[in-house]
Amino acid sequence: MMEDSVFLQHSLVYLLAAVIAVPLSSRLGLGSVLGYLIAGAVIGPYVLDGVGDPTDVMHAAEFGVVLMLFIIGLELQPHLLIELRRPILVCGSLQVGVTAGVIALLLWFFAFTWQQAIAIGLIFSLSSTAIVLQSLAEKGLLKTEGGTHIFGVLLFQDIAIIPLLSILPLLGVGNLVNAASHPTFSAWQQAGLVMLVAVVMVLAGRIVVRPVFRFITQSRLRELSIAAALLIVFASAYAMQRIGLSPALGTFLAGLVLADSEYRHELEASIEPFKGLLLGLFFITVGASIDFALLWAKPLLILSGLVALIAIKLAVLWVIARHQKLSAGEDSLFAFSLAQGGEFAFVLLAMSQQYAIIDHELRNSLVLMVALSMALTPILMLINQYWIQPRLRFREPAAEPPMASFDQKASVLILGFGRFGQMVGRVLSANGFAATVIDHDAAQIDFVSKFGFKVYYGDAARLDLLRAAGADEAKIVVVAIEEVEQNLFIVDLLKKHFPQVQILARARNRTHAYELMSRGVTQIFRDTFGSAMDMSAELLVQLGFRRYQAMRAGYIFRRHDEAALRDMYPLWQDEKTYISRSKQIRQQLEYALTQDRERNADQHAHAWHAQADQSKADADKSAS
Amino acid sequence: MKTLHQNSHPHDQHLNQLAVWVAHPTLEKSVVNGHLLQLAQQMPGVEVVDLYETYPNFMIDVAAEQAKLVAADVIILQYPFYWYSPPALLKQWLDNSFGYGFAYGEGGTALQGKYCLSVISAGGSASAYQADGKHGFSMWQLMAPMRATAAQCGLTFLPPAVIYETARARQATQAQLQLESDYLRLLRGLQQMDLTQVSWQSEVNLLDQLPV
Repeated sequence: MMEDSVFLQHSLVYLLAAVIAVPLSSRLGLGSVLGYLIAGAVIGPYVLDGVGDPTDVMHAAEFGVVLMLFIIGLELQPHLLIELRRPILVCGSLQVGVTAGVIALLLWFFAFTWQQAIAIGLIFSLSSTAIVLQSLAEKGLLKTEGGTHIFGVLLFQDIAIIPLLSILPLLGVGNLVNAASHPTFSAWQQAGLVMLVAVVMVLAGRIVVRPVFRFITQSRLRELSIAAALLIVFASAYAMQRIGLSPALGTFLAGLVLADSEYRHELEASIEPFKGLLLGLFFITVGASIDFALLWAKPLLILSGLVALIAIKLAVLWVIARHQKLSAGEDSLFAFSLAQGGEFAFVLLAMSQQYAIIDHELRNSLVLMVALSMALTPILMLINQYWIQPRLRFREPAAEPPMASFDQKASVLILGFGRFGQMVGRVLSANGFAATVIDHDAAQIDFVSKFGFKVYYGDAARLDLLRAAGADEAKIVVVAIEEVEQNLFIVDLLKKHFPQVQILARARNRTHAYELMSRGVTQIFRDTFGSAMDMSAELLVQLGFRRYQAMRAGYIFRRHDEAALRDMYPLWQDEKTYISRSKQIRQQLEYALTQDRERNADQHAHAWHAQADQSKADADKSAS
Repeated sequence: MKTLHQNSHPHDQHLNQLAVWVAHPTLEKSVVNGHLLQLAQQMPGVEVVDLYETYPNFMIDVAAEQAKLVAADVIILQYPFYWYSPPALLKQWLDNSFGYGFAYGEGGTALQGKYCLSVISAGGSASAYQADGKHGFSMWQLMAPMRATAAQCGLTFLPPAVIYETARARQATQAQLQLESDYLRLLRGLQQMDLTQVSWQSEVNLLDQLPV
């Protein structure tokens, strides 16, 4: 009972802090990450002491980083990874190597042991994937030249954790404390295991995941597909951890394998909220773990260490950016974004203490420096944005990124790929246009993808899925959903959240067309109208019309009917309140027919009585 | 506008109303016609109808087209020369809009006193469109059906403004600029001049006989 209330109390404090600090910080243009960090610092043990020791929560929250890498893997298709090989290999290895070397040399100069110098140098060379990527994503900078280079370096660092984990024990000088918890494999064994796991992942992704997901989605239980998505993430993280590698790397690989699957957007949308919450929690715990007591006790040591850490990383990054010929403004983004310690440092520093490379006191000081540097990152990025970049970048807006973007989304989005949407898609594809397609019928998708269409599974009525499918950047959205309620719901969603898109909507019938018009949709296409028109024209032919005349009659009716639809639209709104649906349909038809007749009669009357006044014309009409 | 229209208006500030009907089935591939269309659209007070864009199914809205004809003082038809004729849709437009009782026949006086001009793009050279040239007929001779139509409707048929060797205009920036300024000068001249006072040389390209 006691534990329950503590749990509730802590959750309450965390959530309250986040809900207050993050919107404030975002409103002030500082980004959500800084908001979380400040909230954490305030509720941490050294200010308000609202949550006790945040270390346990931090371990749980670190899973947010794992989820984030899964999503990054999903968004990064293999061919893009190949295009990114230069930032990953060249920038990444330069950054880790040079930074670690400079820091190690400096420490060695200050009379640290060479083991300590190397260990701390390597650990400090890492940056914070979580803070940097989240901040970049929030500012929409991931796809820029600087953003892709930053991502490359972070990815290299995540891979570099693997050799780091095996180097640290070699640097150990004393007895190993608790070393048994870490599985020990030889380098060859480990390499073999990594290959094995990667092969299993690719096979599982190709052979198992697809049918399983199809089966699950056919059940139409939303929570089941979320559970399945989380299962994939946990399984890949666990597999990697078992063979002694970073779980984040495992999920990244899993994401990469599933990047070209048709369930990609569904997976992304399912994981996204968990990622967001856990990352937020992670940032709060980083803020809360800042040991202000230690800072107060040894301000000179901590601050000089902090300044040295940031300054060295910044300088090395800047040199690399210049060396790699990043354009003006992008180089400073690159340097200022990566100039901090990373979350892996906490784990690695703890390990270093276990292997007796560093003592407890030193570890605490180093942890504090890393935490402070992470907390300063959003501020450094703001300094870059408002002070450095404007002085470097002369032309605005920034030039198009020369690098491949993370996800080249099509400018046309087709929602619903049934009989209607399929035809639209086929016409587009036959004329060389690409489209992103969403449909919620797994069987349909399976069938259609055999024809070479790129179709994603999912419920198009979900905002997160629309967003993942690129509704933000789409130019035109084709709403080809058959069910009226669903169709209108989606149109509302699009109008509210993506006002920039042009909507082409399918309408089941007249009522549906009016509903669409009342939502401001102007391009409406009634389901059966086209085929009924074609058939009527053919009917007229068989009744003796020449084909050309029959075609003209069809076009004239079409023009007239479309005009009548607009004319009668205001009338429909009044009637709607009291006429039942079935009666309404009948009445609409009747109204359409009488209006059709009256219009023709009017036209004749006016033509005949061109000079007569209106009352005379009316009298004539009623008399006849 | 209708009431303002007179056969002559020597001293007032009245501008002639221009309306341009452009007929080009592959305007997206044409450079000259697309360019001229844009120039006309940018001119204030000029009504421009892109026929193939407005009536892709050849269903001319006759009432709307006749209203535009009534409002215009100078009816400009802009098209590429296909087998010595305008493209099909312009003929369809002519057949439907120039109806009995409107343009000709009993009560058909709506176009009386207006002016009609063809702006034509042709692939061949000016010398090919001579009585002794490659085509065997001069441009003015080839205009015979249009001239007869205009005469029936009481329209004054102006000498056509012809852009020859369109491939050259497309390639050379200098030619393009020359064409641009010529066309704007033509439209402005037609807007501002008292057309009744001008005597035209029918066999000479209209672009070559405008006052500078």
